[in-house]
Amino acid sequence: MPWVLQKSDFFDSRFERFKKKHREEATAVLDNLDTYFKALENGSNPININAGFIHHEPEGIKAIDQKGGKGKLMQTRLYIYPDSAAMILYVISIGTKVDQKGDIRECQDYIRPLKRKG
Amino acid sequence: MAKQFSSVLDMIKDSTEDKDEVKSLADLINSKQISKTLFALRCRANMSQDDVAKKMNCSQGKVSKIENTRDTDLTVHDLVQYCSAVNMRLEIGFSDTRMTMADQVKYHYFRLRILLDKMREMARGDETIEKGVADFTKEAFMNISFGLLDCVQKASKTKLPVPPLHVSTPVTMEDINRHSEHETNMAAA
Repeated sequence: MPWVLQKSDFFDSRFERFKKKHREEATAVLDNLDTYFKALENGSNPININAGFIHHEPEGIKAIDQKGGKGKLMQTRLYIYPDSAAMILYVISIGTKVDQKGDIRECQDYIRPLKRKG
Repeated sequence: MAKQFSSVLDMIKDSTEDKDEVKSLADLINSKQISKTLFALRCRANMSQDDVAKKMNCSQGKVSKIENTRDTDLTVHDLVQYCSAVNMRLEIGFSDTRMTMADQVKYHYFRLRILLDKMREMARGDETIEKGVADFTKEAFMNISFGLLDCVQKASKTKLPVPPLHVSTPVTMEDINRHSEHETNMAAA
């Protein structure tokens, strides 16, 4: 069974709002998400996926940043949660580093019911 | 049930109607097919950038740079060294752009025969190995036949465009063993 991506029900609205102000950052962070997802597709265990653009947050949440993008970019965080059992990579939210505390709390609220189901 | 996507690009196409945005992301992703594969190989080998750097005899920063470099800027030297560090061998293939998928199937058939002949030649003179090769050839015949039979049943006329660069999925011993097990189970079923 291959890995798949699944967006949270609020991801699109967060993404729309974010890219209006930070288009380059959005592209850079999505490129890094693609790199992460390809590592999963190639059989890597999420625990072993490590690079400068990946930050390990509480409860298995990962934050992907904009590193590697062109120019001086705003510190960005794209929040994801890899569910190895179901082989689903949840793409939860996106925001700047400034908003990370609130964003992580929101991500935790999103994944808790998923963990209970699993 | 929530929508699921098989790639980041498909997911973003669903999130935005801005074609320029999708195109610039697609261009960026497609320009780094090799470096993304290298990253995946390292993670799959459960190695850190530092581990790879030590084996390549370079800095961790250099490894990080290779993993984020556009394919056109990578050197064969870096690729060979990186692959070697993660216990992989770099294979470079050249194929005629006029080659159809059917031609590729024929090509692999001939390669298969050459490899089996070579294996038989190498085993000549050693009864145990000769028997092992004979058993393996029979097993391969069964698995390939079942696989081909399945393909015959699913045969379609789809013609896909041929991209100028193709980065194949890395092949490891684990993959071969997994496929082999799967084929055996299919044959048994």
